[in-house]
Amino acid sequence: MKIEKIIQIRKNFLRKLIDLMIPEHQNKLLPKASKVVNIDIFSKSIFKNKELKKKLNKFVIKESKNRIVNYQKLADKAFNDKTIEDYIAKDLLKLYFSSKIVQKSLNTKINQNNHKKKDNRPLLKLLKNSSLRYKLG
Amino acid sequence: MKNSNCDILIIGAGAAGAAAAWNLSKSGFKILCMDQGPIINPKSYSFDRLDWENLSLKKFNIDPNIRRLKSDYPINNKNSPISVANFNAIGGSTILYSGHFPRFQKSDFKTKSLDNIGFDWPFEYEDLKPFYEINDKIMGVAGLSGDPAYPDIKNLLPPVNIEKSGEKMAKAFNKLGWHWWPSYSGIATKSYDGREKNSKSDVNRTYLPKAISNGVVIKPNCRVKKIKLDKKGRAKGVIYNDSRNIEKFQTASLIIVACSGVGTPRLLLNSANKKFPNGLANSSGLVGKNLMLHPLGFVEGKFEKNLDSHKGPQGCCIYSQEFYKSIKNEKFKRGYTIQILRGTGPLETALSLYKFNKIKFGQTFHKNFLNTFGHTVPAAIICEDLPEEHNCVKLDYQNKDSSNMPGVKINYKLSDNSKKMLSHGISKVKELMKIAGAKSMINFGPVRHTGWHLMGTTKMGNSKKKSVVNEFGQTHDIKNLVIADSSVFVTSGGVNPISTLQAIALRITNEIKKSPQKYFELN
Repeated sequence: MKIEKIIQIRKNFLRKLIDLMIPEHQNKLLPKASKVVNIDIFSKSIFKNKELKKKLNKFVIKESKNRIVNYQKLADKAFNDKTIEDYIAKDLLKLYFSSKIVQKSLNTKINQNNHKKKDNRPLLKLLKNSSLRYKLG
Repeated sequence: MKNSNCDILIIGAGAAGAAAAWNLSKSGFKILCMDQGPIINPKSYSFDRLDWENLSLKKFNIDPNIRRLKSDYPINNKNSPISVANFNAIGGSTILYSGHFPRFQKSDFKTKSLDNIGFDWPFEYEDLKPFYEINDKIMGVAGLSGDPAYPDIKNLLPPVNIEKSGEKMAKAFNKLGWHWWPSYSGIATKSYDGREKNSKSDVNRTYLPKAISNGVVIKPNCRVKKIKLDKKGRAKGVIYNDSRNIEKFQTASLIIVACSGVGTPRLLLNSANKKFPNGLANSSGLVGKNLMLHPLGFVEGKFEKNLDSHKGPQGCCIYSQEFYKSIKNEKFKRGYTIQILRGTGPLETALSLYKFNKIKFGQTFHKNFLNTFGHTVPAAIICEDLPEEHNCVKLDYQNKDSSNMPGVKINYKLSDNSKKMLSHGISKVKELMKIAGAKSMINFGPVRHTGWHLMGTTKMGNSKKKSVVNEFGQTHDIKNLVIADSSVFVTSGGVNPISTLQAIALRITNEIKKSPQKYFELN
């Protein structure tokens, strides 16, 4: 099988897998992983680990012999494999939470009570009630 | 190759070196400032960048052993529960610091007289006060006047917003009747002195541009390896590797070392010669000794409601000095500051949850994450560290930097006093978190990767036998060799040292301007 085809299958499979790991938020507050994670950067990063590369390639090559690749089945199998999760979790979290879309969502949709004050009055009121027990010197 | 002479050579362009450079500029001296690190655009790492957390994992990591940049030197922390944190570049660690800007207390300068522990400094708070004030003005410090702990601090920029999490904790402090106040922060909370609003007060935005416009020459990527003496025992110049790693010699009439509490003893120890076989200016044997690191305790409370605790400048929120000084009938002397910090950013939150098995990938991922993100309030307990000679910096000949200069080995043990203080601090902050309504807590200490505050390794004092430099930073052994960074600290206080170390750099350089003949022969 051509290497390009394997790479393509691998990418499609990884997209499915990371969406299983980080799906879209049920109220659409946060996106699914494949929407914000650049799969080429992700692949490059996780495949620095040769053991993982070997393991995932085994998955992919076996499945790719079928005429129609069942990505869901592949991803489900990998999702339930804790060793694969351990290998890719950190890279996935780094890319997901560094994405602009996720960061903007966290700062707008999630935190609706943007707590910007225009003056110091509440602060001064709090300080008025504070202890002055501190001894000088 | 020999470079042309300069009047004053400053080694290190971090917090202290930059303050020294500015203060000496416009004084008519030809000043050169060298640093082993590169020039960093302040915008390439700032907390308002979306990718700042990711950058802090590698390129801007606080640990030089993780960064492993050309400008870094190896630091062997195996014999220390606290590892050294720093950044080597023009601007030094102010590029990464969170901007906490408290001053020392008056009592910090006389712990021996007051508590029969540590040593007294050769000067008092009042001697440093005018320099604290100049420093606040140049760096741009935000805060609120009227703090009972620091009644004389005035002319501050508006305080940083303490946000919902700060208010929650402030109410808890009030319930307990404990002192608290908005943090003194190196953050321009309004447009200030040509700086953008909300920019952090790193010296690339404050001292250095002013020093450069006054004629100071900055040389990045130049690592000074040795200070050389002439036949009369005066410093005559330095051997350094330039940006192409070519060895060169720079002559100077006066040399000021400002490479931090680890970098400064490293340079002096590596400059050993026939006259000073144990390290330059080390007739006292104290170069590298009395290392103080501020052991740090950590308590994080988790709250039911989303407090948006990650909002606001990283680090600075509110602080308390309720337990800053010795407490009667306690088993430890001196005390600590409690700092209420901001919650972690999304990436750190997620990585930490994963590490502690508190988040599962799949359908529950977002729920787990959002139940924690913005819900946690961290507090740091900064313990005053006391000087002990066995806590020290040594050269590590097994691990060398990119210029073949030895790295350093840290030998540091937590004292019984620090252990008891940490334990007291953690229990008090847990009490505070409980009153604030935290549903759960995690706590530990000392925190390993927090060795930012590097102090004491070329102690200041009046006695040549018991200290390395005099009160004006001049080494007792070599008239024209000055140390102007936190290495000269006699004790550590229980607060972040930047404000004090910069004030000291200003005081030292003021003396050089006032009485240059004390330091070097004028042409």
